[in-house]
Amino acid sequence: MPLYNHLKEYRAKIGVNQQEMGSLVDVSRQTISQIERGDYSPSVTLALKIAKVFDAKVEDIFAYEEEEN
Amino acid sequence: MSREQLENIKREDKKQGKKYITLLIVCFVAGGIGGVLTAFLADRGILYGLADMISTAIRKISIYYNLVATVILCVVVSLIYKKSKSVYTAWNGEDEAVIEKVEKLVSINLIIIGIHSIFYLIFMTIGCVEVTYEIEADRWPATEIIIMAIGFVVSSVFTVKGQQKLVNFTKEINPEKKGSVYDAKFQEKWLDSCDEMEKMRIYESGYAAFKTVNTACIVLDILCFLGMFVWNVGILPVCMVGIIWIINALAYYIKAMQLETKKYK
Repeated sequence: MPLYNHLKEYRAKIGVNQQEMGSLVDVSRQTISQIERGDYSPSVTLALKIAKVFDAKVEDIFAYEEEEN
Repeated sequence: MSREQLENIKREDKKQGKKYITLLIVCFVAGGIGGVLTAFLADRGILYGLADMISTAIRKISIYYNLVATVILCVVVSLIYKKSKSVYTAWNGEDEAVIEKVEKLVSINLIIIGIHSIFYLIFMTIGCVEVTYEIEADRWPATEIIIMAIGFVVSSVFTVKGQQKLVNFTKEINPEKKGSVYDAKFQEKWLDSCDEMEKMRIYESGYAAFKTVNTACIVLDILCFLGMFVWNVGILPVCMVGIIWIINALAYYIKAMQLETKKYK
């Protein structure tokens, strides 16, 4: 089941590029890029770290296809 | 386990078992035809003549390979490196297509140097065999020895310096990466600095390599078996293939057992 995300929108809100986003959550730029494209589903730990950066809930950033629809 | 699950397992085995037996029969017939053909060609000395020709050609080439290949590859790698550097310098920090192009160019260079690092050692070894043959024939190949020595040094420097430059460039693109190519524990440090997605890629690649080596060993085992009768190579090649095969399998199984008790935090 595809995992959708709003990572790019959230990232744009705080004005960081992929490299900077990666530094904030201890992953590479490539991983952030893959997550935004939907090509990689982050682990629970990584998803929580990302949500913490934006002071949001994990469910606000990541959702399954059904919930998205 | 329920009776239905056991029945499903048996059904799947039965279905795949039929395909497996068909494959065995096809391999048996193909092996038989191949064996008869090999014996036919061997009787007429065709295969031996061909093998001898190939072997002589490789031995002659090996004297010059390292020097010539390194010069050519140095030019190719340098051009690709310069291109990747200029594209990276012009990158605005956002355009994904641009940075992916840079990373692809770096990967191409790493593959070129990686493959060359294996070839130059192999050709160095074969070159030494050729020099030995020349000396045994009372010819002192001084020029060939000097060319081989220079080629070896040049190849070694190219491989190490090339990898150093590419690794340092990768660290420039990805500042979180750690490790120096001069460090004996470079691979460990590099892996530790990789994130979850990169580690998954490395592990998947490792598994693909494990499966490929297994298949390659089967093929090489057959070739060495034929070689024993057609080219009289003795049992050493088969033993070497067996050793590599066993090491490949044991490395995988032992690591898998160790990982059963690993905590993934």
